[in-house]
Amino acid sequence: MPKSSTLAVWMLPTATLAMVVAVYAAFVAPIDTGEGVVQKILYVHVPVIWTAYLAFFVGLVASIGFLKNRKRSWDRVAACSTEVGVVFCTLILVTGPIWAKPIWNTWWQWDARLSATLVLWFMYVGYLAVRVLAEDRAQAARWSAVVSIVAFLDVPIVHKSVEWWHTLHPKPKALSPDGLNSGLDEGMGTALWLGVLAFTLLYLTLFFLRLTVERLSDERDEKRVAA
Amino acid sequence: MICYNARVILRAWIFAACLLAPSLAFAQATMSTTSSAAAVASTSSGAAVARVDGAMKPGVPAAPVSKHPYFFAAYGAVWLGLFAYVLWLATRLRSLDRPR
Repeated sequence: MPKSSTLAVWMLPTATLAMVVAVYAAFVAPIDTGEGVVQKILYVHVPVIWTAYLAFFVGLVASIGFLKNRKRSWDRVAACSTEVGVVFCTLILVTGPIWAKPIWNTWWQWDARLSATLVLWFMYVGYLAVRVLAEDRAQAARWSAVVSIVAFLDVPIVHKSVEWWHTLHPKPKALSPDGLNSGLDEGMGTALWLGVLAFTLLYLTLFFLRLTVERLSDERDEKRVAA
Repeated sequence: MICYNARVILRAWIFAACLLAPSLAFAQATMSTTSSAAAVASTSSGAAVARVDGAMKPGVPAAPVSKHPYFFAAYGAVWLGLFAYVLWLATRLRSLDRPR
């Protein structure tokens, strides 16, 4: 099996190329008649939240795997993926207000979607805090695995909040109950899905890179114990 | 080997970020238009009207105005955030590389 660092080395040019194509597609995508050019943020904001969901999902699976097998490799994957997910979740909370200000005339509203996303961010920041504050690595792995499972319960709440409650946040257009890309023009849908692909590749690059750093850290700790 | 690869990827990342930023700026510049056209095309808000008025003043050339300022701002924020994260990873990597 190839090492995480090798995977990251191969993933980076692919991710960069995909990102250039995605940016170009976003630039040439048709301008929305309702929101105008502000709508273009969609091509960054939606892929970023998709990536955060993916990262947290990988963290959830790895956490369950760790609680079942108690192997360090599962914990390592969970910690690295969740950390990258927190970075992307932070970026959701940054790009969202850039859209909200010209559309809602305010940076923030205590809307169901926004509040649920903020709660999600706090829970996963709590995950990172638990890992730092635990007394030893085994305890950190156990506690954080439980936090990861509990925190992930908020992901479907975030996603469904616009359907469950009356919110200001727009309803999903790309993956709506009416069908794929039902609320988007053809060029818009292409730009959005290219963005999703590019950010997924970017997530994989960062994840493998973070995994490399974690493995190095483990190796150093093992050497220290042996010496 | 791991260290070597990680160092390569970090340098490549910085290279990619440096490459992408000017290409974005280039795309922004080439896809921009004059202020009056952009204002009419994009929105009819007060700010846009003010820009049109400004461009119409005699002797004041029409300045190029970006067609995608919000996308550019959001994309820039994402790149800055990810770049800061990679720099933090690079710092951690360096501290792990250092012999104790």
